[in-house]
Amino acid sequence: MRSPAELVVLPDMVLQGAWQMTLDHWLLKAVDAGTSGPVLRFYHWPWPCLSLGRHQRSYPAPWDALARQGRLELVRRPSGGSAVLHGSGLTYALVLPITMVSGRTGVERYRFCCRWLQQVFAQLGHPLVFGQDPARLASSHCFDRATAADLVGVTDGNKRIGSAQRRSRRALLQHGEMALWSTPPVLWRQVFGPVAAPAGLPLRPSELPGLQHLLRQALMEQLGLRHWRCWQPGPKVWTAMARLPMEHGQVTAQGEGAMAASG
Amino acid sequence: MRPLLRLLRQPFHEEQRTLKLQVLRLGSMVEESLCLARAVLAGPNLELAPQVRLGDNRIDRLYQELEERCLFLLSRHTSSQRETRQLIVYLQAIRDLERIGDYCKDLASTGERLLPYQPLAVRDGLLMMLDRSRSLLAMALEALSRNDASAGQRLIALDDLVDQDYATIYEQLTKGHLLASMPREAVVLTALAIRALERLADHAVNVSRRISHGAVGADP
Repeated sequence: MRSPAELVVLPDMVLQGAWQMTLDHWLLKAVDAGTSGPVLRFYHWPWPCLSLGRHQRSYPAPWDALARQGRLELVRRPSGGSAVLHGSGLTYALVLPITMVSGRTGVERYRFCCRWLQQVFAQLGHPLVFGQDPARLASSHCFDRATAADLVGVTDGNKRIGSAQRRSRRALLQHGEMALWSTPPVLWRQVFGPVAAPAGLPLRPSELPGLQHLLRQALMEQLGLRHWRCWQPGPKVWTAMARLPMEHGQVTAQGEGAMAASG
Repeated sequence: MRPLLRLLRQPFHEEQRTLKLQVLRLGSMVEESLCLARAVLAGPNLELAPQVRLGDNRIDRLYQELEERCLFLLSRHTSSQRETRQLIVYLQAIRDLERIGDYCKDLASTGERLLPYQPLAVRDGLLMMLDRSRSLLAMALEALSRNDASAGQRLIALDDLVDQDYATIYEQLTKGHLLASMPREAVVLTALAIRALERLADHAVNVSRRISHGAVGADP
């Protein structure tokens, strides 16, 4: 495949969690099939969403109850890792043809796919480094530890960006959540119990509007792309997405080992 | 009357399936209308509001057609209690969807009149409220499609966020620095827009609340 010359950028969309995940899954398939070049999108959530990793087969029973009560929306990510509570940050999805990604091991691929993020946050005065914690099995949520897939603040050691990947034959999807504002503490306690919620990135409000622009530029520079174009799915694409089967994992009782490599 | 004759020969569940697909089609027309209304409110676009009005005429026509069909099926006295209940769910759902369509038309017209005042000071909050309402509508339609009777409770809780948005924007419009800086017409129009959105979200919740446990094909 010839190397693509432009980055496909989707507009910032606020969609319910299930659709956000379907869209990312569809993008992975599109890049894998070679019908789309590299894709970057940033998005927000209309309400708190708890996303489970693709392989996270067991999770605490109260999460189901919270979802039934409408306190949050429970969705499954097409990427790996463990649960992430979204809603008070900026989420990104990056889908690259595998030929554009350097690195043979998972850790190397994470390092490659996070470089643009590190660069921008360093520019903004918040240098980030990779976490040191080992990826543990059966860890309930993403922000309770910082593995080699995650970026933590150099100065305070707080985890700032949690990322998760999914590799298909010819493409790679990286999902990530940048903690920007603090999560509502009540909801955080209901979901994860008495552990401290992650602190938001100490960005000034004036830095926020330009953040997506800076991130896009840094990514294009890293990938050696000169142009980008905005693309929005049309009605036919949405219909195709609705028909895409999601690979829902079987949910079993808490206690069985959940594979959590990152997140 | 060939289509009617064909309808008479169809087994009941087949008719209901066809009816359900038509109800969902009405739903997706309404969703599209809301997306267009969003684009009108989001920024300078002069072409979309007339499209919403045309779309609303189509929505009204399909609504009338579907109402006729529901009434026809109800009047045949051949259905079981469950089937009758399902027909009533559809009758109520199409009424709510038609109302949502009307609110989309109102939003587009309001958006058109707001054009001289763009970008609005409360633009981000207004669009977030619209996106939340749109997501509620999508979830309600999905629940209707899957006959998920448990969705109602979930959507009622999520609708609280839309009500909070309403309260926040109302507060911004009536108190604080915006009161002095925003032209009076822009304030009034924005208030109309958030009112339409709040009502629209309530109708979306209604669609999901009426999905009945005893209905045909309901999830156990």
